[in-house]
Amino acid sequence: MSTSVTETEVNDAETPDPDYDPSVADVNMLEDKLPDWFRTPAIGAGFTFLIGLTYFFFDRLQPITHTDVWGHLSYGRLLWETGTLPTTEPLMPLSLGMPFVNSAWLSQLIAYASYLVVGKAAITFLYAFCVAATLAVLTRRVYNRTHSAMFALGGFALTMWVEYQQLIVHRPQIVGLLFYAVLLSILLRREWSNKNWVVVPVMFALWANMHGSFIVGLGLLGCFMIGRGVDLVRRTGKVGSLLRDSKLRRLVLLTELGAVAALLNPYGLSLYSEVLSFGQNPNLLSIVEWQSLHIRLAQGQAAAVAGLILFMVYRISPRRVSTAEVLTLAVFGAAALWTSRMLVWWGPLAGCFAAIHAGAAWRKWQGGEVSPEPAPRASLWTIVMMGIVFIFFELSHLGTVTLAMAAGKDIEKVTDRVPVSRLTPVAAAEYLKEHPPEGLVFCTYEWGDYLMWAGPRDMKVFVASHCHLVPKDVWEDYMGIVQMQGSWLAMLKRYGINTVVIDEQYREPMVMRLYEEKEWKMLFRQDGQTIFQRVNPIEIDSKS
Amino acid sequence: MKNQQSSKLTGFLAVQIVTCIAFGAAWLALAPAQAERFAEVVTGEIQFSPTKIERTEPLVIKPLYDDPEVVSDEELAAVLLQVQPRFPADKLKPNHVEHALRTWHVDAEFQDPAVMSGTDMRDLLLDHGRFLLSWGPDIQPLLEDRPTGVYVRWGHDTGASVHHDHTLACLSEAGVPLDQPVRSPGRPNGTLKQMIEQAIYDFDLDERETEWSAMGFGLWLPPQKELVNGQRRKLNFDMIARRQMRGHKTYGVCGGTHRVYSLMSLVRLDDEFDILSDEVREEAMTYLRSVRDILLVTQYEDGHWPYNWPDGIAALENPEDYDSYKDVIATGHHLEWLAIAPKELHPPHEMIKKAADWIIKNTTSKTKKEILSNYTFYSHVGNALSLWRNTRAPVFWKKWEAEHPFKPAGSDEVVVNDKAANAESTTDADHPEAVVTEPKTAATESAETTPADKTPAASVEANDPVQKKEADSGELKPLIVPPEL
Repeated sequence: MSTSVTETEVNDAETPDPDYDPSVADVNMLEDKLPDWFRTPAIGAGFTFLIGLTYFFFDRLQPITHTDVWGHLSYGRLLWETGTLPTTEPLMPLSLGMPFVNSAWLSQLIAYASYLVVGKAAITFLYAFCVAATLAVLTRRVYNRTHSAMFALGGFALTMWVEYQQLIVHRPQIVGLLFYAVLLSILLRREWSNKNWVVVPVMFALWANMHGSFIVGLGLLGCFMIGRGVDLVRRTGKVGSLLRDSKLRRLVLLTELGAVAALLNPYGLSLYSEVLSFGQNPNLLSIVEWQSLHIRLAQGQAAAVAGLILFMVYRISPRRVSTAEVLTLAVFGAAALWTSRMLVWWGPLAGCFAAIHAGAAWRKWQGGEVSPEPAPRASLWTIVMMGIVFIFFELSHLGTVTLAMAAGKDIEKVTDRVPVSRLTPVAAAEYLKEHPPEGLVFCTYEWGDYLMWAGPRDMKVFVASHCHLVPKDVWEDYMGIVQMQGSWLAMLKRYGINTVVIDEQYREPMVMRLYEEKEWKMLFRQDGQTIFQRVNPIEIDSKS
Repeated sequence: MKNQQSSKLTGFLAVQIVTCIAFGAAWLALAPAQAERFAEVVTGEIQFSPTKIERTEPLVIKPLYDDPEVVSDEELAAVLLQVQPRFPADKLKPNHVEHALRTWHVDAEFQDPAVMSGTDMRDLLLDHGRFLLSWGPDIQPLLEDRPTGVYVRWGHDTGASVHHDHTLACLSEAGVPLDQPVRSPGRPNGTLKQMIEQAIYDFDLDERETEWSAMGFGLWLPPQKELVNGQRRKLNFDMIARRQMRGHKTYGVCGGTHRVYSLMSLVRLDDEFDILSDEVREEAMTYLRSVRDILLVTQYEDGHWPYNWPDGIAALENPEDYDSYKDVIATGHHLEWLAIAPKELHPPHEMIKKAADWIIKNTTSKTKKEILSNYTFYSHVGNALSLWRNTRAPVFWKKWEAEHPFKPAGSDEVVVNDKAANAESTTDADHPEAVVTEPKTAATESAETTPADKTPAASVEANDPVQKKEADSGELKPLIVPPEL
């Protein structure tokens, strides 16, 4: 069982080999003495390389986005410093008093604590690790189901394509996606493992504290549970069969345990009401990613193609299509059509189901066995995998930082090299730090997060990306100003705004208009970032 | 096999029990507001417990001065005669009635049958039946029944109150009690309490006009400092006071003067109930001092303050071309807040006297028609001057009429200038000239008034129930139709 020298190889050894040279050692003769659990198939190394590349791409080649992440770090910093969870919005002055259920508090705290140790490299690592781990979990499950590297790769590619637009923003949702992938992997696994009784509740307890998407996980479990029930009744024609099916019973129990575990959060049941009502916040309608999925969007095109592929694959698949598959694709698909942000939960389903059914169709067409023998496993490949992991880790920002730390070098210089997206108002924040503005500062919601994080600590930003916490009227006024509607300049006056920080790339008309206005002067302009100041600041004007 | 099945069943049941207990405990652990929110999400129906109102009468911010140098009895009588609620019965604008009610209060009574009494005015605002009598059935009701209370329709629609919570603020200033019946379509047995609750539910700190909400809440909620609105936003008087100070002074209704009045009121309420933090109180005082400083440099030679007073000295150096009634707005409203302000916030007494002289002359020189065209602004003049004599218009007038009984006089055609009447609704509106100077028609006979207490015992107090016993009879009277119309 544990030997690596096969019978064929022994027989071959008996036949004289013309190339045989007794002076050279034949490594094939070596016995793999490492335990069985340590061994992996060669394909594992291949997939590790693929996942390593994914990690490298998201770590090294994907700059830190200029939006959410800085807001989450700001909340993390506040949690770290105060040790308490605020019950009302603490960072945006115009949102003072708004009820705040911080569903991502643990992610924020972990991210900030990591940031304190290794700076921005922590953010790229956490982000790239979650993305890579998500794809690794899904790809492994598809491979286990199809026993085909080609279809596992296909599932990976399709998932990646549909998900890409959702993955490019660094946010706690990525952790939620990882948990979701693990859950999906558990549900798609052929065999039941008793470890799931622990893994799933623990995961939900963590998930509920790290991101509000735990509710999606419960939805996934619910869909599988209902799907199983429908399948049972359809197959047996008896409702009584529902009571006797152990798989259905397990799904019911897992859903319940997951739901109970999710209560283990600082807000208790309130977290449920928060996440269930979140999507109804009217402010979200202004945000593209919360609007309906549209074919003109890149993710809309990817989803349309994925839908087409699924349709074709289901037409030719010899596998029985479970109700759970249909239900999950329909429910999460409808949710994605309703608001494109939900596409992130549909992508893994589409990738996995398409690959599994395509693999089955391929095997049928090839006339091959449905369940081929597992690939040979060897410790060598495990060691190769470890090497790949090590290399990719060392190539990452965190690897560079750890090397610098080991060498006793100043890591700040290394972490400073971690790139942020070119839309990040780094220069503007630096300027504002040196020249702190007084009163409320108007900025776009995309920049509010970074300015809160890197600008002066007491800086009062108009809005930031946590727009669901912004009072409705403030948000409407904000939209009126950024879209330069009607009396937007007067609106700035109404709010007593003396400083405006905006980008030239997307707000060029506004920049031009303020530039022409006598009431405003341009204080700063660099890297497409501009700062305007009112010539006669409002307070001074009023007192004069 | 049987044992295995039995243990599976036990396990299954155990999880059911654990789930029920966990969710039950989680529900019990919720704070009342959280439980409401949860129920709202689950049922899809609004669940909202309004902030408790602990008083039954609104607070009254007493004036601080009795200064006959600012306005004599005769002058006050002449002005009050001008601003009597002599409205046409048909299509009676809630905005006019509200202004009249806050000036004349709910206990106002007049010998002249053409003038609406305080209770008539109150009932028009609070009884849908009365409103129908004036507007007919085709108009949208002024009052709307909502799950969270009684909503007052406001905005620029026909028959609506113009400003958000203006009705509430005026009723509160007029001394209408909490249990006053409010009859809206669908809720014939409501009370003013439901109107306040709806106002709290609807209140948005960042809406365009918060001046009247600030007044309404200020007169009802203290000593409570906090309230929670329909967005479940926790608000307090610090936030409301800061909102009055936010942005350029020019923004706000009536050239920004209502914000000053509301802020001054909150400071006065703070004297009694400590509703503001020390920091915000100091900010408010600094703000009010800055207004005073602007008044110092913006008064015209004739005594009026310009509508664009927030522009400071530039308002004098580069006068803006606007309708002259806007100077009435600015001067009348400034005199109003100064009447409840401590002396520290006053410009020199001479300036106040000059302003009062100008506004008295201006008001008494108008025909009733002209006054009615700009009634909302002139009503503030009547209230401001009454406050400067440390009295209230109905109290003064009752005594005045006792000695100067009403004698029917000639009619004066009354046409409401809608645009001018609604001018308060927007600070940026461009209104046509509506004031035409005509000979005086006001009474100028000398009169006695009760000497007012120059040292008020309590600066803020609940309404005197005796004074309004008649007003609160709750009896519905038909509208009084002015005979000359």
